[in-house]
Amino acid sequence: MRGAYYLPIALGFALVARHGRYLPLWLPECGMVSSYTAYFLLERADMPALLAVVVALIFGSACALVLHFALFAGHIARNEPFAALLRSIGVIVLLDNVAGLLTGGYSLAFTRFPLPSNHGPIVLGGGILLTVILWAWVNHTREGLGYRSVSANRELAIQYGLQVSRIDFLVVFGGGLLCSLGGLANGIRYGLTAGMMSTTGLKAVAVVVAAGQENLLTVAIGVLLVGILESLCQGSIRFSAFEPGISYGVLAVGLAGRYLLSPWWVRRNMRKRWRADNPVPEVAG
Amino acid sequence: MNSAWLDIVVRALLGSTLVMAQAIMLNWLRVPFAAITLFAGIAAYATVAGVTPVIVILFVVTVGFLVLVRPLPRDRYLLLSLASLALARSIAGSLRGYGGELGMATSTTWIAAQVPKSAMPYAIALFLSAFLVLLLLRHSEMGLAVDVARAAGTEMHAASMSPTGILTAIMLALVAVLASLTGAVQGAYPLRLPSQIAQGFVLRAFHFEIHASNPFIGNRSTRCYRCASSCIGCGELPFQCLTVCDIIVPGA
Repeated sequence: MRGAYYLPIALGFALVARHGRYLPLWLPECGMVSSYTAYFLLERADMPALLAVVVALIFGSACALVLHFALFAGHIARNEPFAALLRSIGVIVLLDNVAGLLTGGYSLAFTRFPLPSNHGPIVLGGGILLTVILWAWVNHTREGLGYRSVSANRELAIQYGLQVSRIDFLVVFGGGLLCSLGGLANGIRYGLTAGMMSTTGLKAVAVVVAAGQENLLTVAIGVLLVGILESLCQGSIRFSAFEPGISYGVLAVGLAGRYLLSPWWVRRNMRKRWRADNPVPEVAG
Repeated sequence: MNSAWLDIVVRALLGSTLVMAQAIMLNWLRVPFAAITLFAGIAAYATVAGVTPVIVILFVVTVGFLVLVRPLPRDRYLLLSLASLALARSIAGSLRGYGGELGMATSTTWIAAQVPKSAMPYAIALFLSAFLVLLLLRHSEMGLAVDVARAAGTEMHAASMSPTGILTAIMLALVAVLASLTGAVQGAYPLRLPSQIAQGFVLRAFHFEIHASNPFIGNRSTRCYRCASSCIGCGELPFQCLTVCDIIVPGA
């Protein structure tokens, strides 16, 4: 069930990563913002649970929009994925430190929001439903076509009159909402710490980078598999220390596969096809 | 001088050597390589455990990163180098023969554990070596070739004037040697190789990356003096001072 908690974060990250053609490492941090907001509204301001959750989700998504348009929209327009990645690292460090300052570095837990006993199947079912809806939206709707067009070639999409700024807004808001949802679920399940989304987010990021941000279903399956592997590792005394390394191993193998082995396979297949088209003539005698 | 301050100096010198090695890759060659502490970590473990074949591992890691420089986009390469640190932490933590997550007690003959005066000559030698490399890059013909190789990323004509691949290989090998030697001293110096050493490596690598990237982004990177002073001033010394403050004044 652990993978189900990573699923919304991975989906949100994949959505925004494909749209902006960069790695928005900062996006999962919106989950931390959302979790901390929900905590302060619920535990300190005594707000009703449902209202606090809704406000926290909206606040997390709004935070994603502000960060995107203030810090990263320029990098996307200028096609600077590396500078955006470095800035993302800076944003992560800053937000983690702010969260640490707010709580004096202590971990927090929701006391007024007890988990239902069947939370695992609910989160898993919700995650699978989210994946199917998002996949259908991206691949089989008119808005999804616009999203894919902007992702493929931003300049051409602008020239063809697509409402790019509207798509930007929708995608970042949607990605932020998914990450906020994932962050909130993680916060309720595992508690709140200042760096709660740096590690959890990186696990989702690792799978998205390895599987490719355009393959939402593969990303979902990969995240669930990582969750299963982590649970298996944690259950074994011998391999329990290796548990945090699984997603990074997936990332390393995935990147090597995509950028090293893939061209090798392509080259081999091309060579085979060329040989089939140009058979070597047998020398008589 | 108080041994606490000598301790600060030793740790700052060793940390600064690593930052300068990082700067060689990032600032001079524009290769977004953040896994400099991976070499140091492997060498530190090897020093404490007394494993000689680790040179083979270091060689394989160096070749692996070298092979991946060209095919991987820069952001993916940076992410991979950071992931390799976390992966190394997990592997080190799961090796029970090497102390697992508890780490290992240090016992070497060439450096007395936690005696700053015995580690000081090695720390100074390594710091000066890294500084010398930066000076040579600044003033030698090879440094000029590296400047041209750096420009080859954006200038079409520069690409044909400098053997970028060979220069990257030389620089990476040099950096690997520097970082490994620093790691060997870092492994031998403390009383105990910390259990969370690899996790510390990851966090420090983030800091190194940001410090080393600042001049890189602003394209103000070629002055070795500024680089070395910023390594000590911005990166390592305050961190070590805070660490020692925690030791001297509990709860500070």
